[in-house]
Amino acid sequence: MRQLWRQVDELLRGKSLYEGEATLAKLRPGQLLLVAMALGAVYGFFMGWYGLFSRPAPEYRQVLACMVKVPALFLLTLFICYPSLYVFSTMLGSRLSFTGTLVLLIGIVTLSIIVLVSFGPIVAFFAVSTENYYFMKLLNVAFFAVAGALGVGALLKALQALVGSAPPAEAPPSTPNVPPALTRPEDRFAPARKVKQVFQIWIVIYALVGAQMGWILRPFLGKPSLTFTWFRTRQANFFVDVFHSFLNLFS
Amino acid sequence: MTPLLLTIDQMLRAEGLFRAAAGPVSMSIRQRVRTQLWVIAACGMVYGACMGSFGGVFGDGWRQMLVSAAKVPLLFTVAFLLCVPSFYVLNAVAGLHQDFPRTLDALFGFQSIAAIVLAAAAPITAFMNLTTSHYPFILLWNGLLFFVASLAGHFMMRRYYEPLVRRHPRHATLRRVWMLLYTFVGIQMAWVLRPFVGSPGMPVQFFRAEAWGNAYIEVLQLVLNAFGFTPNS
Repeated sequence: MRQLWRQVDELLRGKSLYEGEATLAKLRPGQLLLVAMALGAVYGFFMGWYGLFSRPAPEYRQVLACMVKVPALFLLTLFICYPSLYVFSTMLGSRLSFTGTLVLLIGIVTLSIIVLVSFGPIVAFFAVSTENYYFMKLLNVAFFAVAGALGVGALLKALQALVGSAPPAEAPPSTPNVPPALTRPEDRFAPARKVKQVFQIWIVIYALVGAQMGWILRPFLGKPSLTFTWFRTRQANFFVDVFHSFLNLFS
Repeated sequence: MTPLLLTIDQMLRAEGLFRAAAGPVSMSIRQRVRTQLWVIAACGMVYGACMGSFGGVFGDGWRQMLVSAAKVPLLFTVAFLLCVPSFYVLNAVAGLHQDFPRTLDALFGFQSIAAIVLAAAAPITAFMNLTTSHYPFILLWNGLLFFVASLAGHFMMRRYYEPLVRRHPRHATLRRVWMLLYTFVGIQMAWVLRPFVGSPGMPVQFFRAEAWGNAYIEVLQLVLNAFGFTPNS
């Protein structure tokens, strides 16, 4: 238990992620997965409170569904996006192995979930006091977005540490005769910057998959006027729905 | 009584026990926080009692005073407790966890200054309550005071944050994040804890049955209605 907590603590402080392969190898992916699932269930528990307080009769199954679905959302997204991250990061010059990339990604997802679960009390408070379904939905989308963004930011930092630690191939030209136009293309492929540029594509993929995963796992909150179901039929998509929530906020 | 006033004086001047100095956290941090909590409770209760005096002291009025006196410190502390976990995690992710004791000190400093400002304005509120019977005006007045108090709190918090920001510029961003988060939760908390003033004609209650609701939705709906948009259902 104590060791588990130390892992989480080190993860949170960025000790184990930003310092290259050696520290990354010390992470225990199995333990981290366990922590991530448990904390995801905690957030799901708070999220499910909306199902208890918004309906005439409390729907306990909604709490249970959320506790399963929030960890599932993160884990399924992780496994879908993992191969593409491996390919991208290897092409960029990361020296991580196939399993090493998985460990890194598990660390990142755990970090996201820790950020998310720290918003748990706030979500619970709003779930108890708010009846407006669309407000709750947007609030949760915002919290998931913040958690995801911080996780992705940490991943970027970790990748830059892995790739950018190599010294630049050539010393920058010191002669004033060289026109700046010649040096610029060289600059554009500086490792750190290249990581960022290519990595942006992966971020878009990750966000899209995550959003769509959340969509097929719905309902999380459960619209009070509808009866409880474990899953809904397929219609529209995540982005259309968030847009409609904005429009419906005041109706 | 005198020690409390002395403490408040030190707090306002940021002197003595409450010197916002750089350097390592002194041994007195626990003592500081304990005093700050006392100040928040005492000043919040003073203001709450004055705030609840709208319905008069005689008859049923004193009950509203008691209720409001309990609610103002509750508003501060519960909103604080809800926000602290996420703020800690955000600090840790930003790599500023080793400064968290000082950060916590600044957050309590914010609340105690806000409470002191409210308590200082308590006589004015009591006077307004005595002289006005216009309920919306009193509501507006109290809202304005809470706004001014939180501005003063942020001013003091910035002072507490100065050494932190000097150590790492990222602290400045996190201070703004805290302002956003605490205000966001605090407004909803104030809404849920209604009534503070006590609408005339309504019985005195600790919570209103219909008080559950979302502050943001209700206020925006009022604004939309004012501009002639009718809600489409």
